[in-house]
Amino acid sequence: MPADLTQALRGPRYASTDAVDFVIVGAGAAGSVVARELARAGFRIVLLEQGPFLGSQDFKHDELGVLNLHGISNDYRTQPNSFQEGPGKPATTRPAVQYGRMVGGGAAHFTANYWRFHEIDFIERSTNGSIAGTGLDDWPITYADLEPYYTMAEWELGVSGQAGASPFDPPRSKPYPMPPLPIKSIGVLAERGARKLGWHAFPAPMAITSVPYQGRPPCAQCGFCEGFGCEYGAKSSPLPTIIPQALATGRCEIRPGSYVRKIETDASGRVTGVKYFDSARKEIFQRAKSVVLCANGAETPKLLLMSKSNRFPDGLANSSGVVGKYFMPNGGAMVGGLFEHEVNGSKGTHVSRVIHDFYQLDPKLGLQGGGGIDTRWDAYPAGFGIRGMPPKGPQWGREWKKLLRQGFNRSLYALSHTTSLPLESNRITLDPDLKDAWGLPGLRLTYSHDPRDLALYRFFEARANDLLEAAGATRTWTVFPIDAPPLPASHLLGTCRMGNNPKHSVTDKFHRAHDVPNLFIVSGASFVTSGRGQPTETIQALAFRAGETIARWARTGAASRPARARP
Amino acid sequence: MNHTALNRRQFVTSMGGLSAGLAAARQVHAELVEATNQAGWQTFTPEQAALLEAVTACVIPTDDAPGAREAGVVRFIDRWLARYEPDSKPAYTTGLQDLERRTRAKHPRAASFAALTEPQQIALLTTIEKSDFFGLVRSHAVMGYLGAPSYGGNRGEVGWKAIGFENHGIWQAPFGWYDTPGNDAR
Repeated sequence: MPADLTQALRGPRYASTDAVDFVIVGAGAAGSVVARELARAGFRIVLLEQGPFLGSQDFKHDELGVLNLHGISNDYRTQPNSFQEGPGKPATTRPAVQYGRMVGGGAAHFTANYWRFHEIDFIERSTNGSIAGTGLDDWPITYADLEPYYTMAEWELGVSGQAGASPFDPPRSKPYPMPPLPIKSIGVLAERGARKLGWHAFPAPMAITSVPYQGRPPCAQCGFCEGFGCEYGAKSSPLPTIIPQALATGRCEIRPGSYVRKIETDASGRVTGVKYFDSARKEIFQRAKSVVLCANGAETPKLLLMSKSNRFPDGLANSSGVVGKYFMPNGGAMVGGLFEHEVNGSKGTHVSRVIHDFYQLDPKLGLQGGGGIDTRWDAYPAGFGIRGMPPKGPQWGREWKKLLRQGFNRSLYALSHTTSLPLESNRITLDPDLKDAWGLPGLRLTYSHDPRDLALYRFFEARANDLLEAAGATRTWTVFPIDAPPLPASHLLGTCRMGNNPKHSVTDKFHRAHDVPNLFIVSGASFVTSGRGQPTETIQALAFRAGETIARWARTGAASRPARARP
Repeated sequence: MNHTALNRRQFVTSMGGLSAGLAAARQVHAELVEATNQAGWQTFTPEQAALLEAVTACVIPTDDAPGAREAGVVRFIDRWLARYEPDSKPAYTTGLQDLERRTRAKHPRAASFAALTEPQQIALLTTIEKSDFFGLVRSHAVMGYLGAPSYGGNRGEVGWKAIGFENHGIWQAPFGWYDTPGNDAR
């Protein structure tokens, strides 16, 4: 790429000694939104991103390169993880967490399922009571507080859907900006099954264009959504939307290939900037008046734990001790169904219909939480052959090959997405021995399923079977064992929870760290509960709200003043 | 360009032009891949390659559609290990040795696993189908059968054709039988 074009794509150039208004760590779902909001409000931004800045020309339909070789996600060969199935259990080196390691983050390679949380997600504890052995708590904000920002996310980014199609939807102030995407066979079958069962299948709200929108074309239905970047710019990820808008302000500099290793503080406990490795692995200290951490629910706590100092011996912003704790990956069951005729799921967007009849389960069932079910096809040829088919029966040879050939175009999945209970013992820490290619500690995930969550997954496994059988499946199978560890986890939630009480949370309800007045945390890490499996819209709604609030404070100098003096 | 004025038809037409360019590029690429395939082995000895070919042909046999053999799966694994997964090379070395040892124990007069009849091969592989080695070979064989041809396997897209996958880039409704009007009472 010509140097001048690269220059234009990355914005202005700030000197590292120049204390910019904000350094934002992570250019994903949240960081890109916060960057745009703050840059539009007139502030000077340096947006640091571990991964590359890719464009349409870089996105290929190459399953092995993108998925098996981690073309656009974190690569365990250079950033190894360890996993421990509960405290005191042996830790083994294996992929534990997965995130989009690129400008755009996970929102660039996600399936684009774009669900709002419902009212209940914010008030589960006060509605249903506390749950023994868990850290279940209400959010410090309600659905009503966030509703304007859900609407903002849907319109600013571009979401296709049908308001009012689900009887379970929370109230909304505006309809979706685009009509639903065309129905696929996976959606027709969901409707058929739901109708027989008395359930309600509705058009999936998707962050994908169904008609031309804000200069972008409608989706070409190429079938490469989950795990892939969109070469058409039809997926409403930050890449074709808010990233160029942030750059258009002329005040936001994007630095890809920047791996932050420490947030620095001064003697008064205020953040002064961040130390990071650039793409040549040279260490740079970028000064900043304030720092916003938007590095997902795994890298965010890791960075805080790496940012120890005499003043913050347990990690930065961690006087509560909850940094890294209450990790919630969302659970559920993935059930496959084989049908008589061609479904051809590999053509078109991955999700077509959603069912929310079990969003909040009747406590009389003895189950906690709830979830949603969607019908989908997000398998690619090799992945389907390796692990997408029935796990019982032949796994190789002539019979297996027959099923492979029959199944690829005649199968679909009913995937459920459920709540995860917040457990203190499910957490991100620094591995004491493992080092990554930069010499930094490897990330360790300690996680075991709560039996109450497992009961919920089994409930949803049974409902998914009901749905597929009612739709006419000739055979069904559960793809992954229900009680297997959810690895690598890609919904990375809850590890720096927001809250009103500094003893039990990391930030306040406006995302400011309780312990550090000029440090903000906005990402899936901020979640107090897990929601029902589709976190991206809530991450982005939080980011729009945080961007607006932080900009307001920054105009009066309050973003960098001591917390006590905030307006 | 004013993208909002770009309607679906113009959009699809413009992509058609792009497809023609892509087709030409794919042709050049296919020729390069073929040239590479004529070159020597990067990971395996010829003996190991022959043995692995017999194993992968049992995993993905040839029926009325091409299998691992026609897709060039062993070429794929050879290059994949050399380029991307060198840590797995020792598992192949010891796994293939172990398979020959089991072959001699069960069939003392056979020269190699590759020389056994197909039922004999299947019976032997069934005894190791739960092993890490077999799992590795199975995964790599499927990758070589169904991954992009640029990696050296799935020659002529035979694997994709066998399962009915088309990397077409653009589709329009109706996508399948059930969403075709008239086929399913909605």
